[in-house]
Amino acid sequence: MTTELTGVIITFLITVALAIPLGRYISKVFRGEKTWLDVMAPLERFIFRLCGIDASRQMSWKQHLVALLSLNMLWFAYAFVLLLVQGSLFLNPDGNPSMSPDLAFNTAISFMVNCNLQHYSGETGLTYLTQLGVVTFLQFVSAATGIAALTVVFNALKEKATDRLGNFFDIFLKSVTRILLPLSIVVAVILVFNGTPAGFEGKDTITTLQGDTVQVSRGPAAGMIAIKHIGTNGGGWFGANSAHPLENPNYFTNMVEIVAQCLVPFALVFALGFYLNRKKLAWVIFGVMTLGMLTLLIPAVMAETHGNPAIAAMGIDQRAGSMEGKELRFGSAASAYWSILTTIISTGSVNSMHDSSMPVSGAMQLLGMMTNAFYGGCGVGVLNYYIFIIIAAFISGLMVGRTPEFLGRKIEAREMKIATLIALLHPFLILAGTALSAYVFTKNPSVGWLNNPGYHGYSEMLYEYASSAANNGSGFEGLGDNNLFWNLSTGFIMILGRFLPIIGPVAIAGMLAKKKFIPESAGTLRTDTGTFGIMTYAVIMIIAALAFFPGLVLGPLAEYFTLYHH
Amino acid sequence: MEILKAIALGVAALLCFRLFLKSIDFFENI
Repeated sequence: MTTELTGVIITFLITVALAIPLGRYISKVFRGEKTWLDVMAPLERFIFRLCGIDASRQMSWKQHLVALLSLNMLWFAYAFVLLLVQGSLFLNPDGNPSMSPDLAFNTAISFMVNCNLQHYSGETGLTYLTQLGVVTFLQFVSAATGIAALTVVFNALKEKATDRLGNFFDIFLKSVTRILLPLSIVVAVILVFNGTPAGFEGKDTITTLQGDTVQVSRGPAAGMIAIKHIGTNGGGWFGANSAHPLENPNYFTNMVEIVAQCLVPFALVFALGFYLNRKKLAWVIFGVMTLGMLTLLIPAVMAETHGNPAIAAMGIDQRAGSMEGKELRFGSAASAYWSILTTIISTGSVNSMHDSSMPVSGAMQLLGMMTNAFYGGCGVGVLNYYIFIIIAAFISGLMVGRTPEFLGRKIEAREMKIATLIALLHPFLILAGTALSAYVFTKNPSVGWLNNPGYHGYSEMLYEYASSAANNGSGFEGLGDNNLFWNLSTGFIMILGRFLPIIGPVAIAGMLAKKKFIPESAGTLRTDTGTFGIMTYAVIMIIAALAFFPGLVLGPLAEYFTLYHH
Repeated sequence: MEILKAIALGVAALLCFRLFLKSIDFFENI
């Protein structure tokens, strides 16, 4: 067990050690400074010329958002149509069929919004064409969308900011060519050398040890799995995601994949510090996020490594921890670490079956998605945290009798209204969705969604909506979710949970940037201190606790008490 | 029938984007 825990700690430290220089590099890319990937400039200029884009044109925050939404709308239409007709197109060696309209709707939205909720299984639900041309493509561009939205906010937070906040298309394309693509190539090469397939042949026939023949799916998976993690997407090539031996062959690839999914979110926090020359602020933000992560991680690791009392009561050795739904090559501690990081970071890939997690771990995974502000997804994590900074600065200012301000700009009623709406949207989407599904199930138990009735079944439905609203994409997959109700309801929740929490923070930052800059003085409420960090942490936890405690009591907490105290 | 469903869902998604575009002005004038 000590070895397993050491592995978890080392993995985290490696991620931080890589994230700091990556953050410095990202800030250099967006400040237009010389980097070694300036070799991509001719390709970028060619793409701009082909599309008729003037990449030097400065845009206001509204123009950035219109560009972002227009591009995403086009991508949805493209993905939706391709998924509807994939069965008739080329690169389909296994003869997989086209998707039904509701599944195509859900899948197109899911990958467009960086959620990667998969109500299908990759081996049978998609063709190689759609795996590459729809899924992998959207995994790149959705991550770049988030990074671009955050960079607009970075520009707005600068001291001398105005309404000229850069060019969306320039920032977006550089996010792909200079950040996501190079990192994905590195991860993909590592995976290929460890056994992840990358060819275009169809299923392979193997003979098992007991003499049966089995068809094993293959395909050009390595590249997709790389961007799945680097872009905090989470959608796996294979149905079992990173629990599959070809998607995540060994403990080393497990470490590589978990580092890959945490790397850009960690780096973007440090990039904020380098970009604005406010490194102390970045460290305070990173410290709060890490404190939040540890608040969720420690109970989860303890719960998983101490085993399942119900299984122990059957006389089965639990010294390896609770191994139901887990892979032996990873162990319980590394599985718990992955499950918490992936739900905090909104990647949503899995290396174990979350439906089999202990109740406390399930509650921590849910809280990770419900808070949705610790590290978070590519770009959107810091955007969500920004909303809480605004609220915390406002409350703190009122408490100590100082003007609420952040980085020299006064926070007034308009900004607070937007921040409050966005902060409350997330619990609303999750709880309204769960209430609706609980009502529908109670009225029609024959719908057959739930393999686990009672507290765990409720948790499955709560998890699905939390995952959709947080754009996570993981699931308690005891839930039968490929049907009209779940495809449509989660589809709408995903799209609302993606774009409004981007529009809100960009609007706040854009409006603050137009205000008069107030230089720091003795009377300024400092936001780069530990005290303010703790205040922000408290705001996040209180809002999450108030909004979600009743829901958690009905699901994972009730299950915990049933398991341990019956 | 499947084509009608697909068209309806496509229109629903596009209406969502219309809502988001309108929300930009809503947030500016809130």
